[in-house]
Amino acid sequence: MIFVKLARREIKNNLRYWLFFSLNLTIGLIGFCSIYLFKDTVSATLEMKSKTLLSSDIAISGRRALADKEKQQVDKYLKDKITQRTSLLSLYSMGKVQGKKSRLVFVKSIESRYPLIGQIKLKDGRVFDSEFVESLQVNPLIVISREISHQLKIGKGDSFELGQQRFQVEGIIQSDSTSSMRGVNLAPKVYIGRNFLKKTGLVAFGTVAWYSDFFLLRPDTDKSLVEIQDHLQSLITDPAIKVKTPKNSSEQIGRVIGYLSDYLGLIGVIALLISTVGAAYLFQSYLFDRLKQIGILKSLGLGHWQIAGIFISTIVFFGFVSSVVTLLGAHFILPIGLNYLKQWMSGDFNTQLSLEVFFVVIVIGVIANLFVCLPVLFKILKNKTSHLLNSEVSESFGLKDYLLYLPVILFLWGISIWQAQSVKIGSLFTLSLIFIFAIVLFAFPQVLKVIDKSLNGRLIAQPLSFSIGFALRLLSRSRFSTVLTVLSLSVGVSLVSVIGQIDSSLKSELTESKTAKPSLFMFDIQESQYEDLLSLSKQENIPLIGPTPMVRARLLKKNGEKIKRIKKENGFVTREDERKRRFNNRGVNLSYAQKLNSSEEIVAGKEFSGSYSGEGLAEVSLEKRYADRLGVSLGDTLTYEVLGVEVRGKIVNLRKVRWTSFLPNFFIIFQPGVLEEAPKTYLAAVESVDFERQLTIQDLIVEKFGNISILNVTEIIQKILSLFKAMAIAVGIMSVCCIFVGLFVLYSILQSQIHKKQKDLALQKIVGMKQKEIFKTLLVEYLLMTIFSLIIGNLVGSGIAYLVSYFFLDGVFVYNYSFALSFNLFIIVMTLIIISFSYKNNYKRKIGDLLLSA
Amino acid sequence: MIELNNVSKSFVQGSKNINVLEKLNFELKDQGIIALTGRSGSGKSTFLSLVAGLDAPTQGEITIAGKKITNMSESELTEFRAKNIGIIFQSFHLIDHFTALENIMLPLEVLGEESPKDKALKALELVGLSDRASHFPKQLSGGEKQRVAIARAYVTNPNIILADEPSGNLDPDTGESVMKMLFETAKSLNQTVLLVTHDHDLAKQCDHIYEIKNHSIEKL
Repeated sequence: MIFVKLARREIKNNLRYWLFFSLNLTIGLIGFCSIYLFKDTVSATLEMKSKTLLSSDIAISGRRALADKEKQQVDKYLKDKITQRTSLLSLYSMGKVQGKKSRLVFVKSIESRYPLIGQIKLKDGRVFDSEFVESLQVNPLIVISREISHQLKIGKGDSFELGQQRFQVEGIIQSDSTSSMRGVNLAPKVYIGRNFLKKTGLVAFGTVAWYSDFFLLRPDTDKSLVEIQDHLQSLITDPAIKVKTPKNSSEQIGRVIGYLSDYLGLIGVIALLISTVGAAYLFQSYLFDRLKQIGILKSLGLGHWQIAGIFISTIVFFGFVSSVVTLLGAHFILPIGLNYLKQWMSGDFNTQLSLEVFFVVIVIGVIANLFVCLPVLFKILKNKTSHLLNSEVSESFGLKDYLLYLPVILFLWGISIWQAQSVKIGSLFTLSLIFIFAIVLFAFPQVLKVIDKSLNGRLIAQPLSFSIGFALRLLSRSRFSTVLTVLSLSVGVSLVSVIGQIDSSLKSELTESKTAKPSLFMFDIQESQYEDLLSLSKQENIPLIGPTPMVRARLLKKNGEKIKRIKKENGFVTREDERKRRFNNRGVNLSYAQKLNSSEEIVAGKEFSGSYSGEGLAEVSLEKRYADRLGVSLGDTLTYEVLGVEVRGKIVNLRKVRWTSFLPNFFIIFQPGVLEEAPKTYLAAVESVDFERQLTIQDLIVEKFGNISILNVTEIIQKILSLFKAMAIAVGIMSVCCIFVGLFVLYSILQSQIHKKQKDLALQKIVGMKQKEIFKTLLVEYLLMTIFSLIIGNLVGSGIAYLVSYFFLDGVFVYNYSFALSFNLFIIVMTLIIISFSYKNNYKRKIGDLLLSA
Repeated sequence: MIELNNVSKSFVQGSKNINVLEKLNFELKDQGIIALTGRSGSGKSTFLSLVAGLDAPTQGEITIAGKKITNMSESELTEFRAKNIGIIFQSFHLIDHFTALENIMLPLEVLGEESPKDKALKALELVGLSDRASHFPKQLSGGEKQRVAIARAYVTNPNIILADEPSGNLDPDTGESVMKMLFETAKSLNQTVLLVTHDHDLAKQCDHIYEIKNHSIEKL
């Protein structure tokens, strides 16, 4: 085969270029591979943290115990899949201290081995090990939370009554990894042995209690967590009983993991795109240097496919080389880097290269590269031989030329969706790239044409100076090369810019808040206490937020159709589908209000018209993302069951909620006049106050309202924030990794451009242009190109970041000025350095050499 | 005007060292159009590159118009060349993204001369391309490109013009007309031209002929 022979010769004669091409690709692939592996590690770490919140690998919980038939089926299915199990029965009860007021507590009656994962530590240093939990089974001992200890002023050895049983306080909880942000778990808790629960007499017919069974899976089980969850859900058809995995054990943590997964997917896509942009640019610039050679081959009778075969086989060869080098690097070097990250991330690091990683690296290294390089090759091959022999190529683009890019676009679209596991993010990305292409390929040449026209017939020293006039001529008249350079640079800039901007929005969303977070959170406020609480807050100047009513309900119908638990389908499922499925299957808390609180904003529809008149359907407001996942929109009707009574509502607006505000927020809010008569409790929060004031307020409320549970939110927020901050660090590290790949590609592009300038440099020297003048001209030309690219790249990048933040991060877009400034400055300084370095190297060379190598 | 003292130039090709010029001594005092001939590979173009300062000798000294160019820095050489030497290449070497007029204006503006546009337009007129002022090199024929290159070399009125096979890339008819124009222009401007050519007939039309042979230059 002639083309193989020619390809070998091609490689031999241009080994330096091809090695550089391969190096560029290798760096891109290594970046991608690191992110890919790191993503697994971060996910694993977060999963580990969320497992401690769930206290097991998998849990079944609900407001009733499993029926015998369900229990048998579950036991049969899990028999060979689990190593340990335990159970928990929790309920609310009034706790009493002799001579003091009673207090609502959340009683957790535990069995041995609880918690399966995680740790509960006491103030005196002891932990919940098997011996300790066993002692709770044989003695009437109770472990209380710090809140109870403080509010009721009791400590170790004091007695505490629950129902008919008197317990002795054995310890006070110092830390409890099983804490979570779910409402029901926010009550101050106490732990007792399961054996003594019966003696309290608290569990009777009709008692509202939560029954949970926890399981620890065998490490070698052949089923995935999701598969097991799905199977268990198919066994238990009642939506009131939930099968939980660490990922959905807590809404707050689940959302955080969701953020991170979206973002990690995004970084993966960006790293992939950046490396292919670099490869595409280097290849097109290489081909443009070889127009004459291609013309000669054509004139010698080689067909298009034979010529294409030379380059295709070369690209495939070097793509493969890069992939192999990347995989070897990933195997030997990445584990060292990942181990270094252990100081920030806990858990086992995934340094094993899975088959998936092998496949992805090979696909990107070989196929993706071909997809991005071939359109330029085919476009060049279409030129007449005579033109190619004169190193000329048609600069006009027809529909057929654009169609050549269709496979690339489809490939990118597919791989973006797959990587981000989100149709929206993947499509948004692909669309953004097409947008950049459209701006640079259609609008930018028009700008260049106008500049060119304005220069005609004027002195070279015009406008402004010799260097500017000279540079503007080169820029506006070598339109094809300028457009391609600006295109590659702006795509690179925009992608890096997306990372930087989302990084800041994400960190801000996770770790900061525009408004101070509340200090205390109160719940179980009874209707009869509502007015008294308000007057107390006025009297004592308590900065109260709320109270907000909460009504427990279950979604029955959507637009009149009965809700069924959605089963998970096999195969590829996008994040959106997965969320929708989960959201369909849950019980809900409803609220009602006339106005929104400070963390809410209506994004579609109108405000409530006022109080419900009793005619027609009630007005309902839904959180936007909740509505999306539930598959409903404005005008749809929802039917809820509130303690056996059906309540119907029509969606009149969709809200955006900043959940990290930690204010009492609800997915579903009814207009006033609908739920007022339903049995309800109230939630309230106390604005950020100092610790001393927190204690005073707590005492005041306990004094007056013994049953209201008060929780110190600051402490819990600190716990959650420490996890958020760990994630933010992880995100930062990945972003830096991705930015590094981007910068290397930008460097490659600029370096390759300067290399092509050797003939111009020689001619400038021949006509006597001084060193300073040549340098200034070169500088102006590239600075202008860089600035054009920065403008386009920053605008598009920030636009994408804004959309991603708006739609996917729940959050307000936070423009990171310092990142934008430092990144843009960095690119400009890098351009200056590359040009200075390259100029210095080339200027020293004799004109003869420059002309020969040009 | 041109003096070469003990000049050698060698190139390394693979593991071989090829001596193109060896201890060459030469002095050119003649004015007018001077032809330098020689067989292919005799070192004609290398000689021209060295004299133009496009390349540096491996050893020896070169003096042009009383100035030793071998001791000059790259910037000094560039400035000296702009003021004293015009170069015409076989492959034209025009700036692709400049119009014909701009290619000619460029050396004038670099030297800071007054009315560069008028002077460039006159030079274009001299080479018969007034109507091609706003054309880019790729819109010109080979002959037209070479005329623009000739106008660019003449326009600053240098001490000497060095021309390396100016008709080498042109068909015989075009080549002949370009050379005719080159000669006429040189005569009308009283310009000294050192023309490197292997074409003996063309050389015969010159005022003086030198031949490079066996590492030495002899006047014929």
